[in-house]
Amino acid sequence: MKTVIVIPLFCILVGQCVAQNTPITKAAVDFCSKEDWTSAQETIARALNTEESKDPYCWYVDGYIHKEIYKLKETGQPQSLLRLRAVDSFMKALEMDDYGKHTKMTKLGLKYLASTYYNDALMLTQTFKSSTENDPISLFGKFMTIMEVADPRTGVERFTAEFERNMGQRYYQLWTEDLNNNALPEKIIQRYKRVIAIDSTDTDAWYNLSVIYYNQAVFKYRLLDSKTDIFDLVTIQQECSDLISKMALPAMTKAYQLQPEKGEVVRGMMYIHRALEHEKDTDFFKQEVSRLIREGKIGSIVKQP
Amino acid sequence: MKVVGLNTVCLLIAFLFAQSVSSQSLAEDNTVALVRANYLYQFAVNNNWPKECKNGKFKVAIVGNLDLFEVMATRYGAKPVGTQTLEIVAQSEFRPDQSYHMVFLDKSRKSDLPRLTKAYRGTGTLIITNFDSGLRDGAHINFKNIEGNIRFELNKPGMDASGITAGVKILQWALS
Repeated sequence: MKTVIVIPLFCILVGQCVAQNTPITKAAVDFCSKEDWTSAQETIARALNTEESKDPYCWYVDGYIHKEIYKLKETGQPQSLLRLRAVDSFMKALEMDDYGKHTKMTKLGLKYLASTYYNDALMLTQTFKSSTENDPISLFGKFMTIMEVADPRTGVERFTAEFERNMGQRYYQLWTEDLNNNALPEKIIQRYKRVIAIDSTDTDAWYNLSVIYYNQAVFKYRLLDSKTDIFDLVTIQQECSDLISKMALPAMTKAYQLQPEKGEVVRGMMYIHRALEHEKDTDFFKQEVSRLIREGKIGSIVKQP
Repeated sequence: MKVVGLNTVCLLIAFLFAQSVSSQSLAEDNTVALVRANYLYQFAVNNNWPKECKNGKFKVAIVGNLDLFEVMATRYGAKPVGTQTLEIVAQSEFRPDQSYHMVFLDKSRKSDLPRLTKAYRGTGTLIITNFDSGLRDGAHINFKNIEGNIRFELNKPGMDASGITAGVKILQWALS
């Protein structure tokens, strides 16, 4: 994982204007400035039990305090209750802030929290199991919901694409660990189709989609053995050749059209044509692989048929 | 309204992105070899050889196709064919060094076919090829690729002449 976008530091002056009739909230803000979060949390809780809770600023400060404590104590904990509380309070502040006095700051706070949900979702895509697949999905859903409120003008497509790609990759890992799980290939396919729906020029998504179809066929072929009846052999072949010719080949061809110099795509074209016994095409892509190796564009360890 | 000054708060919003890589890789198996190897095993178990061929190992030679030999040897080596067990050998070019129950001749060695048919005429050796002129030039079974599906055509009179009886399933699935 790498950090590629760092939205410049937002310097926010919290609590520029606070009404005189929110003294407890003001006291909580004072604790914030001293970074005494325990006292701040206790004080804002008191404020919320008074008439001050009718002021959106009170809810903003509550959200702010819980956000800060979340950062100190529960960063990286997907099920953090402090973060949940911070989001709820910011949302409440926005809902009550009829004149938009605190909207900008509140939305920034929400956007920050949204980013943590997104990051946690992405982290979980690296490790989830079939039984916990909903965990990253739920966190990503939270990210989407918050972003819709905090920053509706920011396109979330690239985040969605990245999330879907990571889900697809994890499902693929799970599939390689459990090839008998017939539900996983379809889940992988759906994820990559969503990536492609967002960006039809995503070579990796087309490539990965093709790989799933092709490998599904190969894994079926691997089941052929001395107990296979000739009828099953013919049936399996029909199913596999359809997967390769009607699904894997068009997807890999699309990837190749997008990036004809990409080694793994050219190699993919070579294997697919070999599987279909397209001799001329196989030879062409074999030569292309050799050329790419000669030109140092791919490693020489690529196995050729 | 009273202005309440508070410390400046810094918000760092950082979204993580995974390295954009094509993490998945194509299975490198030679699928054509996987299918052909299974067909060869089907030919072995679903045809009937003369009584004098039913002793010792059931010998298969693969000529000019190392991938097919590897798959055949790995997946079907020592498997039973009736009371016999399979023994598979690889030849880079045809050598009539011993008798075989089946010989597969790859198209890369198609020029060897006349010698092969001459050497094994009437000896209970099933000759299998994968090129268009195979049957015409004396093979008993020839693989054909029909839209990605490997099927086979049969020279039944040739098999009969070699004393090999084509099994019902083989006849049923042969291309007419």
